[in-house]
Amino acid sequence: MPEVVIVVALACVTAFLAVGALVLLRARDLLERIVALDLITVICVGLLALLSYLREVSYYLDAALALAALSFVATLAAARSDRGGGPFR
Amino acid sequence: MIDTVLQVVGIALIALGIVVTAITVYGVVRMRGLYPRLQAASKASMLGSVAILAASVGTRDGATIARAVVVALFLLLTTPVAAHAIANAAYLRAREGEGVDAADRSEGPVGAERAAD
Repeated sequence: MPEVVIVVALACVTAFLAVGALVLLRARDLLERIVALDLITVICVGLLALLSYLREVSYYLDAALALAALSFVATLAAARSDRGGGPFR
Repeated sequence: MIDTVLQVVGIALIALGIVVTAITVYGVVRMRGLYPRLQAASKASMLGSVAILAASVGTRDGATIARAVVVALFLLLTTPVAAHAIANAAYLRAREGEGVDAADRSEGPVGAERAAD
């Protein structure tokens, strides 16, 4: 793929990441913050994929997989702990 | 010939992913309240990232495509589960605060099955 496309896409995704950070800062509720953090990590996965295409190395996608797994577990744990319970109800 | 086709497909998928992610972020910024925000964030953000990951066919690299498929499958599996956990926590909190009828009437998931405590 031509580099120009990937660089433009990287710029767009980074702008979305900044907007997601604004949403995270402006959230009033704990659960809204969890939603914003989830959104930010999913955007980060896309960012790492674009970086992998740009540099033509595949191991950025390993980092993306690890980030997605961590985000999943963190979202579950935060949503459960909101009610005062442990991870295993 | 096939290289050109794959590159065009990759560029189109990247553009699709960017557009879908933009719609997602706009929806999350624009909507008020937890449930509409969750609605925008959980579905569309996953689809945007999956479209960007599917654009790995444009790289014509086997290792990259295989890893992108794994990451896309993982996202497709886990994002609905995480969204359900968040919505469940919000619903149970509203139910504990106001009672079952108020939680159902205000903005709870109508007709949803009762989650076991």
